[in-house]
Amino acid sequence: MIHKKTKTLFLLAIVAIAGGTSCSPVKEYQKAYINDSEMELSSRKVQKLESSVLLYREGASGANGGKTGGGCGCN
Amino acid sequence: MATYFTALMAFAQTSHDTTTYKPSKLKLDEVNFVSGYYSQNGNNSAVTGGIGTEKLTNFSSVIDLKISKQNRFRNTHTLSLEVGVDAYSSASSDMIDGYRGGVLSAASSVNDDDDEKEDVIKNNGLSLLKSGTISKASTATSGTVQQSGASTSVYSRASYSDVHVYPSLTYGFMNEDKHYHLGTTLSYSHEFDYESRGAALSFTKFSKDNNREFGVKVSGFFDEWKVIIPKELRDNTDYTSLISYSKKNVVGYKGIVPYGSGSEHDPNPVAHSPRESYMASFSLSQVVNMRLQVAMMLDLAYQQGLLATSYQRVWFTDNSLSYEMLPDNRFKVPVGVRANYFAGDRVIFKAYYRYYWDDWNVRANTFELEMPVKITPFFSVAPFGRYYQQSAAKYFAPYKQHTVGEEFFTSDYDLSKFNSQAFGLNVRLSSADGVLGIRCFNAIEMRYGHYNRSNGLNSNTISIALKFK
Repeated sequence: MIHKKTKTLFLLAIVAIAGGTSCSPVKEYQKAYINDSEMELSSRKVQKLESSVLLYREGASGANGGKTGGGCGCN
Repeated sequence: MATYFTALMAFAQTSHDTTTYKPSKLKLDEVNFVSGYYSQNGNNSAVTGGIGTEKLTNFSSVIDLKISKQNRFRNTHTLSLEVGVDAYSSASSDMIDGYRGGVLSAASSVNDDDDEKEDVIKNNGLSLLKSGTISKASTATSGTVQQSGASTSVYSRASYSDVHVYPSLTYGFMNEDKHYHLGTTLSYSHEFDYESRGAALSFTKFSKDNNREFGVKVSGFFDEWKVIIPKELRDNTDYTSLISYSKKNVVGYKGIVPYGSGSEHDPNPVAHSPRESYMASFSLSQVVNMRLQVAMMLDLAYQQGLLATSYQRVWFTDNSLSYEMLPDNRFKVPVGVRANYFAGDRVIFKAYYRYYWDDWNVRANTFELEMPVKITPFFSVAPFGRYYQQSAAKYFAPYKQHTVGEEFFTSDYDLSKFNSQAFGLNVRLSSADGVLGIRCFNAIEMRYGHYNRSNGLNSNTISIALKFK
C-alpha cells in the first residue's frame, strides 16, 4: 500500500517543479526542447493496446486522455 | 443603425487578409498504423467465480488517417478516421458454456495446482473443464458419470474467441487567429455481446503565445449488452441434484426461462440491457520554461445501466451460485498530473501521477515514469516503469466468501485490492528523409511491456507503430 506521505511527496515534487520554477513566457523560437517529439504531453500512439487493456484489467481509468468508462464491456 | 453595423462588420473582417491568401487543397496529412500482441495468464478468472485460468491472447491493429484543408481565412478543417480491430481468444470466456456438471475424474478434468480448491470443487459435485471442444450430443468418457441431457443443450462456444471492431470519425476546426479548436467525434464498437455508440464534443482554447492550453470535452456512450449468463443458470432442469438454488433463487434472467446461450444457433431468447456513460474531461497544460511543460487533467464520469458482467459467476458460502450483480450506477473522478522535463541535451523525464475515486469504494494511485534518451536526434530509447495500487470495490469478495443476503456481489479480481508493476522499453526511430529510405515513412516505434499483478495475473505486450507523413 502506498504510504500517504510518499504519495503527497510525489505530488508536491511535480507541483514544485512546475510552480517553484519561474513561469517565464517562452517564445516560439525558444521551444526547440518543448517541441521535441519525445516531449509530447499526450500518450504515444504505440501505447494504444496497453492503455485499452488496462481499462479491462484495473478498476481505475481516465485522466490520461483516454476513456473513463463506456464504449466497451470493461470496467 | 445600418451604418453602425456596417462599421462593426468591417472591423470583424479586418483580421483576415483574403486578397493574398489562397486556400489549400484537401490533403492527406498523416497515416498511422499500430499493431500489437497481448498475452496474459492468471488464476482468478471471474467467469469461474474467482478461480481458474485467465489465459488470454489478443492481436490488435488500428489504422488512423488524417486529412486537412485550410480555407481562405486560414482556418483549418481536419477529418480523422480511425478503425481498430482486436482478435482475442480467452480460456476463461470459454467457460461461460464450458461447465458440464457431473463428477469427472480428477486426472481428466481439473487442471488446478491448488489442491484445496480442487477438493472444494469436487466436493460440490462440480468439475470445471479448462479447455477442449464441446460438440452437440457428446458423451463423457469412460470412468465418468454419464451426463444425460446436459451435452445436448451445450452449444458451440461463440465466446471462446471473438473479434472486436471499433471505428471512429473525428472532425476538427482550428481558428488560428482566435486561438481555439473545436472538435466532434462519432464512434462505434462491436463485440460478441456488446455494442457501443459514442459521441463527443471538444473545445480547446490556446493562449496567444501558445504556452497555455485549456480543453473541455464532453462525451457519451450509449451501449447495449447482449446478456449472456452461465449455462447452469439458464435453467435448472439438468442440475437440481447438484446445486442448491433455493437460497439465492437465481435461474434465468428477468423472468426468461429457459434462457438462451446467445449463440446464433440457439432459438431460446436472450435479454438486451443498456449501459450509458457520460463524461466531462478538463485539461490544462502550461509551458513553464524552455525545458519544462506540465498538464493537469480532471474527468467526471457517470455510468448507469447494466454495469455487471452477467456471465461472471459468484459462489456463496453455502455453495449456491449466481451471476454477478452490481449497482446500476457508478460515479468516477480521476485526476492526473503530467510533467515533462528535458534535462541536458539528450535525456527527458516524463512523470505522471493519477488519483482515482469512485462511489464503489475503489481508490487508486498510479505512478508512471518514462525516461527517453535521445541517442541521436532521430533515435531514442525510453525505459519506463509504472506502479499502480487500488483498494477493493465494496462489492468484491473472493471465491465463496459472499453470503447469500448480499444485494450486490462480484468475485472479479479486477475490482479487488491489489497492486501492480509494469516495466518495459520503447524504441523510436524517425527520419525527415524517410525511414529505410522510404519517402513519407516518417517514424517507426516499438514498445515492449511486462505487467505483474499482486494476485498473480501477469501479461506481456509488444506493439509496433508506423507513421507516414
